[in-house]
Amino acid sequence: MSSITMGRYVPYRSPIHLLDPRTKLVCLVLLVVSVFLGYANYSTTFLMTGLSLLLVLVLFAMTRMSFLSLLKSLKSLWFMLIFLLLIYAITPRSDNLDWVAFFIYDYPIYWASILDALKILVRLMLMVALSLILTASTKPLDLTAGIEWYLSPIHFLGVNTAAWAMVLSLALRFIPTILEDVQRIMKAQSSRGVDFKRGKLTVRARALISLVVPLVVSSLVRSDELGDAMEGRGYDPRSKRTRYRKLTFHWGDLIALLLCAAFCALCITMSVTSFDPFLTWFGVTVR
Amino acid sequence: MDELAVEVEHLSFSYKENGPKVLDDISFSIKKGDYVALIGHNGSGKSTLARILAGLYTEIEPNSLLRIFNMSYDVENSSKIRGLIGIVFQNPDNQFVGSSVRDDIAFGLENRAIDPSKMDEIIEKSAKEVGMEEYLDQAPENLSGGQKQRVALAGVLALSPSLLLLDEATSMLDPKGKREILSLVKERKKENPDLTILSITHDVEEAAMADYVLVLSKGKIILEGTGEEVFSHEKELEEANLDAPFAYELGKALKARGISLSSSLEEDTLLEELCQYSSKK
Repeated sequence: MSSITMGRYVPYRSPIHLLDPRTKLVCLVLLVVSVFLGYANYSTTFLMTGLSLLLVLVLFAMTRMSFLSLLKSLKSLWFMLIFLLLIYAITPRSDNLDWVAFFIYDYPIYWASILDALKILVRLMLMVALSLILTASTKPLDLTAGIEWYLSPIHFLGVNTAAWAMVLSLALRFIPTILEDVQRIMKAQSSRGVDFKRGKLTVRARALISLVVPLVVSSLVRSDELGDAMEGRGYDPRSKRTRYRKLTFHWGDLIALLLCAAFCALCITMSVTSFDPFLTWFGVTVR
Repeated sequence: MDELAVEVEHLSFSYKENGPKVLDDISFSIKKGDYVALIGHNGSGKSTLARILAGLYTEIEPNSLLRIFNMSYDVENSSKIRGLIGIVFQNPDNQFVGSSVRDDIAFGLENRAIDPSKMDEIIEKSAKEVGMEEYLDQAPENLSGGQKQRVALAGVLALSPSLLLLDEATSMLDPKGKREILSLVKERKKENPDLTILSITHDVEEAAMADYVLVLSKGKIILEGTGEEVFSHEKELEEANLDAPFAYELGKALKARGISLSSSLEEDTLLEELCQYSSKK
């Protein structure tokens, strides 16, 4: 269960925590784009991925989250690796990197396939880490306020963005509560003899029903009571509300934006011009 | 004549059209500044009544009269009335809207469109009133049920209501959390004598704290009066599946043995009198 709760907000006052959520959202997009760009050859890719990795690690250290928690949340990506390896192994290759790593029943597995799979995996890891940095350093309410700000243009189309933002922030608020419910129901059902961990897939699927049904029921009861409580405290999605938390744009936000934009621009330039630093600066051809 | 906070006459309510009546021709009134308890067993309709008073259910039967601070729930008054009422519900989790104590207290203020620059002051004041000022930035999952319920109370008090409805506000708490909430309510009442409180509960000990008690059973009010008056009707209470408070029962048992004390309903008072009695002896 703890891996699901990973991206939860960690209250610190790091420079990243203090940034405007709107800034952080744009920076996330810029950095994810940078991470997923393709380059001229493997050596450049290696260099740029290394740079991105370094950047992400620095950012991660700045939020003061534990690296152990990062590793824990990346743990679940291992099946992605197998999936990617499989995809790349069965895709015919036409590039020049045709060193065969090993054979499976006379079927050649190229180093290139393994490298490509690893490349995608590292990028996915970087993306997960970046998202974690965002969610761990930003209060859910601030995050929804940021998203709402970006959605505000469609407010004029008659969409109640404030209400949708409220729905989103309530969903985030109730994740831990519903996880507690899951654990409680699992314990209750286990004590009645339901085994969630062992047995054939069909048996376990049936066991899961005994978890899902009460969970849905209790969530419906919760949402009903929550609705009453919100209405009782004067919530009306159609009326004008004020905001306790104001989003403010500081100098730090500008600096963060410029840095992220610069990094993204560097990556895009390198990618578009197929710039090879090893060849240009050192005259070495590395594949 | 005293000003009335709540006036209910011939109130009936059913969830479905022509369905069973959850509330059946109820009439009562609450004076401004009173502390009234409404007790009833599960399914007696007491939570429904709380929700009707708070304006959450508006489909009451015609002929019913419901006035709060001399206003009835109609299009122009309903938001005004809701502004005067604060309600604390039973489940501590299901009324915690914000992702931290601070945000949760702010939620009600935001709904009332209060100027954000004034919110911090109000939030800190009401958090202090319930003793949660050190937890302002805590997330709900790090708080106990009693603490969450104190936050719920703070969220309601921040809006300075004239009528405080407690809908089983302590029934999911442990004895300590329960005592804390009740003593906070008492404190608030002492500081603001104009505050009208209607505490809806199935706990007779809690009801014993009130000035006036209403007993609801199967959608009807079967008894009303001061605590002593109500708890002397043993037969009716038994029919409503309720007991008299422990202190009252003990007082009665002592009286039967010739030890006459001022039949108090509160354990503390009884304890004090017992001590005085034994020292006299």
